[in-house]
Amino acid sequence: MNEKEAQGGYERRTFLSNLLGGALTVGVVGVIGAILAYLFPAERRVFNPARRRMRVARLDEIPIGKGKQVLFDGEPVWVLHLKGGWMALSAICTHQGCIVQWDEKRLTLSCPCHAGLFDANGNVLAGPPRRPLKRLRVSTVQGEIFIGPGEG
Amino acid sequence: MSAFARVRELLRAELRQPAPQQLNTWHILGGLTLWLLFLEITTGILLMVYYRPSVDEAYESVLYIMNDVQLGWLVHEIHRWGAQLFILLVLVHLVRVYFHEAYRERELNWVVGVLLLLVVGAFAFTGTLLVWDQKAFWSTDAVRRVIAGVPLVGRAILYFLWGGTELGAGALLRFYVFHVGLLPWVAIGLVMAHLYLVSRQGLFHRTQLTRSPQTYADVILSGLIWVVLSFGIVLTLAVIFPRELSDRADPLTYESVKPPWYFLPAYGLLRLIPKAAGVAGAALGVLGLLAAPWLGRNSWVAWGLGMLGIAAVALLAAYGWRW
Amino acid sequence: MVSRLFIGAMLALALGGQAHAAQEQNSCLVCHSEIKVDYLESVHAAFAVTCVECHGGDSTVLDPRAAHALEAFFRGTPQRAEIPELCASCHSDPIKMKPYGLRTDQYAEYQTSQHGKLLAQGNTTVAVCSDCHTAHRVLPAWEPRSPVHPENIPGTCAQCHPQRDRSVHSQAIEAGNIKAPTCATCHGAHGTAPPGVENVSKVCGMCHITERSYFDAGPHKKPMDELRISECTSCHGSHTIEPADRKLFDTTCTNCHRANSKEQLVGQKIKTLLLTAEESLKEATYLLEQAQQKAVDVSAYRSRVIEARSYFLQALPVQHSLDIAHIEELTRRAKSIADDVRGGLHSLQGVFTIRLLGLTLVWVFLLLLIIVISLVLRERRGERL
Repeated sequence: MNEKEAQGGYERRTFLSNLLGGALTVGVVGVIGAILAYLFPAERRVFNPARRRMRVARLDEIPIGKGKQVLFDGEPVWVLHLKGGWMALSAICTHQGCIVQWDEKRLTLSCPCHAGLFDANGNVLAGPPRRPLKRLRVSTVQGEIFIGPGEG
Repeated sequence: MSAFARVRELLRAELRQPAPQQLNTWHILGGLTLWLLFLEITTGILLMVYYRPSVDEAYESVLYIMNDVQLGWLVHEIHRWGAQLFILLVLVHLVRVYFHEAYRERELNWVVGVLLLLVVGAFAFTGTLLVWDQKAFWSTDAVRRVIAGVPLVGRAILYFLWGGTELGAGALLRFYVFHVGLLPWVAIGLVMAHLYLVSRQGLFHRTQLTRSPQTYADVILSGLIWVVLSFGIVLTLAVIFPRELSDRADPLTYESVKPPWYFLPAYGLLRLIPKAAGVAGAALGVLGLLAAPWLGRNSWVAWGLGMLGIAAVALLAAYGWRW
Repeated sequence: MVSRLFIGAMLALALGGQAHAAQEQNSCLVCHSEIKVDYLESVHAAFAVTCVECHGGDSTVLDPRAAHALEAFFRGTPQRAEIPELCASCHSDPIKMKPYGLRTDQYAEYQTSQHGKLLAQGNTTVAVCSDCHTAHRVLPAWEPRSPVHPENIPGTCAQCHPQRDRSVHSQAIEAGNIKAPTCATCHGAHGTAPPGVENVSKVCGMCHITERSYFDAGPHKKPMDELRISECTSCHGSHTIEPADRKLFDTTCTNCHRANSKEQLVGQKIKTLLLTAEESLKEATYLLEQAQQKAVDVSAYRSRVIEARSYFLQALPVQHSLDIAHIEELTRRAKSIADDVRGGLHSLQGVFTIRLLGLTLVWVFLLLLIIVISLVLRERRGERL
């Protein structure tokens, strides 16, 4: 084993161990980067399985007799301001699933598809639906209206 | 010399130690399971960041991890596939040790190893329920029905493990606590005992030791190849075969579910023999495994028993799978 | 109505004790035991309307001769022809019926019915009260055992009118939807008569309100009225009403219009509009279900599918106006939303390709790493030799 070969072997060894160390560093940095990306909360979509309330409007934004249609967990919901208080009803007709409309004059929710008719409490007044509209919880907190899951 | 340099010298000295010549690929299995345990713990901690262990939110939070969290699907799938590979490697490691008769003069470490196997089973069992989908619910509920059928102690076991006789919110939280709070400590303690006994009792009988051309640095480097390979395999499985969650668990809609492959022998046994006797049979099997070093004092008897045992487990698994 | 029935039921319970006392003294039941079971179950028994109210005689004595004596106004089995009048003697009396909350116009209605008219002409084979309500086990209509309960009406009418229909309506009734119409809903209960041609659309329109109003606004209404062509039934049939289907455009338009005429093409145009929207909606719904099973978060798309479905279902009654612009507007909305959802859900599935690409890159790195490690290992072995 002459001087030159030893020299070359030493260089090759250093090169290889540096290469290994570098590659391992790259791998570790990559994994740490992936973990950081994972830990950074996603903002792309609004998702909250534990959502217990959703803001609908300020109290004075919906006068008595008016209603506002909002989306709660992907389902349309009517929030109605009645003389006696607030009411939150699923806007999905219990007959075939059309979206019911709030009639301010008659104080009814009517379905455009098969003329199902509900009163402002969600009870069936006329037409093919057999079950009342699903109710949601509604409450006012600090001058604002919120709705949430559960029977209202 | 700085403190860092002193530690480095210590480590280097360890790595320069000559390793036994007979050390080969089979002996990497044990180390590989250690690496997979590390992988499971890491991904498990990451999953705990977003997972919510309550009946109302568990399924939705898993969906959230799989859909919305950046790389969340990957962490979830690595955890799941890593667990499958982990169980497989633990079993292969056990069979390897048995047929190499490496348990001789290391009976205590064999017992520790079998206990670790049981802990891994408990990990798998408690972890499956956490996603709270139909499959998870009904496969766990099937076990509940079996345990409820055990005379005398069945009810007590249910109260301890399930927090009641029904599979519900309490059971989910308990399973979660077992999975992330209790079992990891048991596993880490047993692994430390396992490793300590290995290092004290040596990998080989002293009489078999010869001069060796390799050091522990070489062993660790070749082990690293397997670590990288197994990581790649887990990643591939995770990407190509992602789990499709079934529907949200609904206690009012029965679904017939097959247990995962590693519980098939037990399932087959319970199918074959009526409930309480089947449970007793499974318990006997575990006791037999624990007592293996003493049962197989003679080499021939050990091999015969081992092959009989593997055949029985394979047959039971096949029966359970076909059922 | 429900509350009134409920009060009736409560009254029946409350009066049970009093009625019971009345039955104790009812000697008829001693001999006529074959009728006893039916009678005691009836609403008449519950309200202490005893045998003598209809049959006369004396129910306080046990001697058959005295009980059946003509002096006691014994009537025996009433003649069929006189049954309606007999029932009406109580049921048309507002004062007698007031405590029970019952209406009193049934007899008047019956006299206007086809049954009543034929009976007045001396035809005693037509239905009288007891044919539908039974003679002895008279039950209120809300009781499921009653032959005039909505679920039992088709069978009751079929005793004489055997053309049981297999329409959507009877299927709904059989499925337990007591809101669905029975024979009596269209033909009347006591005032039974087939609805005249001019009234068909009104009868159907009692329930199919939107369909009727769109039909009335459409071009068919006037000429059909003038030519006295039955409105709804011309296309949908009467007793064999099938579920409304787009196929009707192929079979019924040509009943009046020539093939390839302008009118028939309008029908085909509407059919195409509805079919394309329906297909798009179906596929979006299917993809949504698929994506849900693959654990893809679809909550953002769920409300859109509900919306698209709502527009499509709204378009269905509008067909009857033949107003193409209106139908086009609704189906276009349904279709564009459904297409939107389809596109979005498809792009979610494209994610898999990106994942595979990433995996390949990682594998390239891992393989390089393995090569480097084995090179280092070889180097170390070579060094020792």
